[in-house]
Amino acid sequence: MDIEDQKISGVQLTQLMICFICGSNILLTVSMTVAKQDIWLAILGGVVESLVFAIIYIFITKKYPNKTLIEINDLVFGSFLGKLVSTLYIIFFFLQGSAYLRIITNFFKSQIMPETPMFVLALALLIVCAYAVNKGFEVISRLSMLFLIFLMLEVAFVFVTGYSDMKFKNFLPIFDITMTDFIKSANIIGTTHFGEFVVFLMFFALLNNTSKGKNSNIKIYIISILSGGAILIVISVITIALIGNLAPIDNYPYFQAIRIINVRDILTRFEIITSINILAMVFFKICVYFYATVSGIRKILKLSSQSFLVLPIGIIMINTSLMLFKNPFEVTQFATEIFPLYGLVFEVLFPVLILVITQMKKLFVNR
Amino acid sequence: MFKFVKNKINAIKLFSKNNEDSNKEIKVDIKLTTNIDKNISIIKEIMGLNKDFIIREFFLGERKSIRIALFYIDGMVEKTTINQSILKPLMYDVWMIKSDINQNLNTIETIKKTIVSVGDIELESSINLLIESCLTGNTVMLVDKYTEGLVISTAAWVARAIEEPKTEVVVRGPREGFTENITSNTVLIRRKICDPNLIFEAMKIGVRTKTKVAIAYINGIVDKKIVDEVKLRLGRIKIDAVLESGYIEQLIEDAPFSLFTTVGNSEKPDVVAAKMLEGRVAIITDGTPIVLTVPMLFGESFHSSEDYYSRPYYMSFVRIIRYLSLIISIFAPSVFVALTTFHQEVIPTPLFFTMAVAREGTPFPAMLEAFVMIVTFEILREAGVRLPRPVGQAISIVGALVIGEATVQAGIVSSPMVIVVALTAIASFISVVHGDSASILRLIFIIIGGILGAYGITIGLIFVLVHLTSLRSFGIPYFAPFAPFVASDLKDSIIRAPLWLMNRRPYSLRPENSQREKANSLPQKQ
Repeated sequence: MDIEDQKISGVQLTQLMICFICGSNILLTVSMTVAKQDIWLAILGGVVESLVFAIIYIFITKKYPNKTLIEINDLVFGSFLGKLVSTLYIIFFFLQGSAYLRIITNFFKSQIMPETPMFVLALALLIVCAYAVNKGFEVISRLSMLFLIFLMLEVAFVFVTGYSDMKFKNFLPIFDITMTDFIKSANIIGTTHFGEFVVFLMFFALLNNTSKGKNSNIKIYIISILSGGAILIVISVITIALIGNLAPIDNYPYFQAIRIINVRDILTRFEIITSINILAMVFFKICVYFYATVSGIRKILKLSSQSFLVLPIGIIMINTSLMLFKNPFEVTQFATEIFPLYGLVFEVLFPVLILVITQMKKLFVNR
Repeated sequence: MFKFVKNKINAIKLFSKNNEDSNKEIKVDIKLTTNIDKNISIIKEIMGLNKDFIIREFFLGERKSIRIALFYIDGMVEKTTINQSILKPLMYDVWMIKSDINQNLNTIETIKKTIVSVGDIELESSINLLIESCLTGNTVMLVDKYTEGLVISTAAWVARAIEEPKTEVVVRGPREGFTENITSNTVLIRRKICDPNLIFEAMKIGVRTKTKVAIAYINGIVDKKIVDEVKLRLGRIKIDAVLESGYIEQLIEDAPFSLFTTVGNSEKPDVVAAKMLEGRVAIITDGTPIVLTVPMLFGESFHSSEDYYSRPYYMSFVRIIRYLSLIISIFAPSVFVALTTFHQEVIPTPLFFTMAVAREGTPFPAMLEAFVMIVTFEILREAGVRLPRPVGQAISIVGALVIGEATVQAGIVSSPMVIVVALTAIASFISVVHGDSASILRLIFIIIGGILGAYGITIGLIFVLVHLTSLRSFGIPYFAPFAPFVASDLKDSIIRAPLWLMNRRPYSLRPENSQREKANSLPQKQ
């Protein structure tokens, strides 16, 4: 079977989207610095915001069930402007993929393997991503459930073993957050964790016929947002309950929280298992962005095959990831200050434009 | 890059195809003539100097007017059948011929229908086919003035009796195993499944060996697409010899570049029957007791027929142990290397001190130590397999005492490493099917773990999982109950659910008829 013709089921897409949300858990610190112990409130706000985003995406996927984002752009904005918007989107996907590659290598370099060169870490991960992208989207989405189960088992394990160390006093004072901070942190959650769903507009065309039911895309979006949000809340609750006020200070609070867990001096310092999970989730994130970039370029240039694009784009991605930020703090700053606005352009502005123009065209045609 | 390699392979394929066409032997189909002397001389010419090729000429009838010639290969035929059922009636009991011969009856038809008392008998006019059937153990009879010969099935040769197979040993369950004879193998399956829908389709593969191959499946259960795919791939094989089913396996498998096998095999008729009842196709090859089954799923290699014959609870536990042992056999040395090299904090402190003491004074890094020990183990194992049994004991003494005890005492290898390698070695014996891919993966993971620690091992694990997920066996996803996640099939994967719960055939194999037993089969009291 050709890689481009692969079809996936709605369930697999949902699983992949949950993994995609969990890939952003490594950036939990960004919203935590703003919301502090009321992070759970910010997450709820972010979920609500993302549900609003989801309405836009649901409408788009319903209007164009067999079209990818690139083709939708061409239809809506016309051939030239559409290509321009598509190019912007491809650059956005590419930069996001590179950024996440940088984030995960930063994490491993600073926390676990300080002496290994960052380039080696990035290269090792990208080889696997390139292999997965070369094998097709079907493989990526099929694999997601396996890692989702790993993640859930790990979170449950952490919750059980760390329960004696948890202090739920840490959540006090409750609602100690200003309105600006709440909106800011909710917006960060909404745009980074859930808003990146815009990339899945590329993949709804890959759904097989049995999953293209009347309300299947609503189901996919709602279930994935809610379960992703649930996992996010559990993780942040564990973090705050374990390390409290220290959480907002640290770069990787969940990871730091697990270091505290100590079961009778036998089960200690098993944060390495968590790092494995974080790596696996970010793997999906990079794969999805990587695949979106590659298939976007294929669509925009109307190429017959895409596998020869994987290697060059992967090489550029490694280099971009190394050049994108000077240091880990710049990443945090970018995620706190710039991305919530820069991401909104792609996550909300263009999709809304697509919707509005589609409706206008419909009106004019009807007259 | 992949495209480039693919193109190269295609080019090689094309080239070899052209080559094959030019080298093809031009075979002229020689027909029988009416002159029996000419026929005999042609056959003699083709068979050449073969000493075991017997030609028996005799006359039929009262006036000795009809010449008959018998051809067979000595040792491949049953002599008593030839003597009692062919020669004796033709030479002595010719009362029929006496009266009928003058009425210009078709002699060969009469011989076929009324005189020769053998079950399987056919008319054939091509000399090539006659010789071919002669070579498979049949007896050929030529009658003067007729352009058709009789092929009388008399095949019988010395064969191994049905024994308990050496590999798939069970405590509970049938003891019989397949033999080298394809007929007795099909009978063994037929005796398990008494159903007219059980189909055996015959083929011959191999230009020179003309090996008999049977495709077996159960109509109405199996997905027809799989059967067609199997036939297509078997038909594509152009090879001079098929000596074992492994030849076929390597020529029809989906992923020839993969470490993992995508064709299953078994030596036991009950296992093959069970697999066919789940919707698989069996490929039985003459001359080998190993029967292939396709499509194969990754988890299949952890199943044993005994799992279903014994009660489910302990067997589920054993299944988990088997999966665990594969994980241990691949990852234990590499994880140990990664922990001691990069992530010492994970090891509990008292254990870490013990290990530090044990490792003190060992000259090599953990990665090299593990690598050398694993290679040593592989050497020992190969030696143990190949050597005759009495020498095998010497190997175990050398392995255990010299390599195990002495290296630790001499301070070359640390004792925790020996323990880990020993555990790995024991675990590697449990999964026979994936054992060979596991031995290679183990070495690769040791290197990755030594260089990149847990990060590298995770990346390697993801790589292997992506690879497993991308594999397909005859259109069926290889890693099926796990990825794609098929919840209903999990009842026969890591655990083995009670039989009364498994009332549907595995969904992953897309059987036509998925009902296995009635929905509510829980045993009930009166």
